[in-house]
Amino acid sequence: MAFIEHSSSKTWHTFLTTGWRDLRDGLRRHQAWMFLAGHEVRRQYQRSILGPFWITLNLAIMIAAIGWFYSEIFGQKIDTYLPFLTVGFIVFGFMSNVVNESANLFANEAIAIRQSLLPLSFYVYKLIFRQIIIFAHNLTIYILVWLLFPIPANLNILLAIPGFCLMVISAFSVALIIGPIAARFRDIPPIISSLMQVFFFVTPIFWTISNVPKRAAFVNINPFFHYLEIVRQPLLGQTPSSLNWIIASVLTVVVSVTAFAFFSRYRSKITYWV
Amino acid sequence: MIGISVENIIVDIPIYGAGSRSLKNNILAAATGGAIKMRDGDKLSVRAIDGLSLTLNRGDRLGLVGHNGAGKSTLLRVLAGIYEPSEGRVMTSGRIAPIFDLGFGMDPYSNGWDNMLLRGISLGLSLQQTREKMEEIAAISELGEFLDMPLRTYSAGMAARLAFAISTSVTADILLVDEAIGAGDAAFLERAKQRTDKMIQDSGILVFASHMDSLIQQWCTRALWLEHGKPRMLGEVNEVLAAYRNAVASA
Repeated sequence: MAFIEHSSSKTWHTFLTTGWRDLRDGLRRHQAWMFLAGHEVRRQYQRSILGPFWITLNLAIMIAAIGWFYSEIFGQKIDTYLPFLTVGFIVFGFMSNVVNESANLFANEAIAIRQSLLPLSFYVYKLIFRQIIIFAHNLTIYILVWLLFPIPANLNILLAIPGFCLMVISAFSVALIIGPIAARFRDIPPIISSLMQVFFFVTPIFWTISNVPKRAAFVNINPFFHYLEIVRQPLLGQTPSSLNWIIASVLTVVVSVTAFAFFSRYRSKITYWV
Repeated sequence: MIGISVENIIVDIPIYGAGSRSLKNNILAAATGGAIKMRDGDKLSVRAIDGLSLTLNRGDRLGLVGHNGAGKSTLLRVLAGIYEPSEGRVMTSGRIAPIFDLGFGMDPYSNGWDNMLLRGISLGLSLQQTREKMEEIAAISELGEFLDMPLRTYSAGMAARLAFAISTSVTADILLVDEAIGAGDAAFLERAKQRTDKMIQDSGILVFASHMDSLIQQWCTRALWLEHGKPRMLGEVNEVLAAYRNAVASA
């Protein structure tokens, strides 16, 4: 049996190999984090009749209210506006939940981290999977809206799969970066939550670029916009622009590489920070 | 091969108080200090372990004794790989099971069966491994139909039995145990003792931190006396305990 070494060695080789080992061991325990993620979602709504569908119902009520009201404000037809709004809310909701939760990720698991041998990436996988479960629940609103206001059914919808994959990989990477920083600096979570609020309003979710032709450049420098588009457009039966694909793909590669290096570098400190 | 090798380790645990953890202080420190980097020297830290070397091989049963805060729990966490040492290195070979807090990982709103899975995962078992042990755990806990009820409906003793039954179902090469294992009524304690003895005999290496001399004498062959993070004495269990008790009595 091989020896496992824990040392104060501070070379990039040590950092990257232990970081890689952590990510790999975490992935190997996928059954456990899938179970725990499901358990956490169920637990939150224990003894309620609707269970996890409360998350979905909350969102549905908001979409219905805003859809009815804003379609009037923006002079949009409700049968195109409501599907647009629905998908926008669900997809942006996934991204914003991951970012917000990753800021509390390690602090919330502090006791577990000091007690058990689970690799630290385990908690990141669990967070992402829990958000995927919530996303899947919320897709029922999308299906409902589809039944009410038929969206052109075509094969474009399949493009949502690679789009969603890019979004999940980036979300995982972002959590690997924000998690350790927020564990160390406790001012980060409130900063992040106010930033995400700003992004909610400056990302075209309940308005479209056609509402603000003079601010198109402003929209294009928003990374959330491109991830939103590569999932939203296919779900609406459209194709995202090549700019959306290129920027989202490049960002995914950059964020993943950065996240791997960053997490590997600071991984061993996290236990001391929480 | 099963073994633990600890080479001259130092463990500094940083203390983040009201001030030093905030972003503001770090930015201010950077602005006033000139170079934009975090300076480790400015941070307050506690030296939890100070220059410890240790080698353990298969069959070793080591008891850790010392005051509260002497570094016993920290040492167990370093051996488990939870804390990486600030200096020196730790090499371990073999499957490790840390048993620090029996009830940790359990959820009052879940039933007994789900809690077996939850606690099993936190002990490092896979979902599959835990499922295979569930019948055995159920039998040992003697909770019967209560296992279908949420944990919050259990009495303290029943919850402790379940926690004990799960924690002792772990088989590992290296067993790291913090504080006493004891739960439940007299009849249960007798069976608990047999089970704990078996778990300890099955393990390749045991490191056990406790304030109860009787348990250390019963399970351990050697003892390490820690004082302020420094090894004060390492040797045969009764000698170390006697020296430690003398020091405590004369203090």
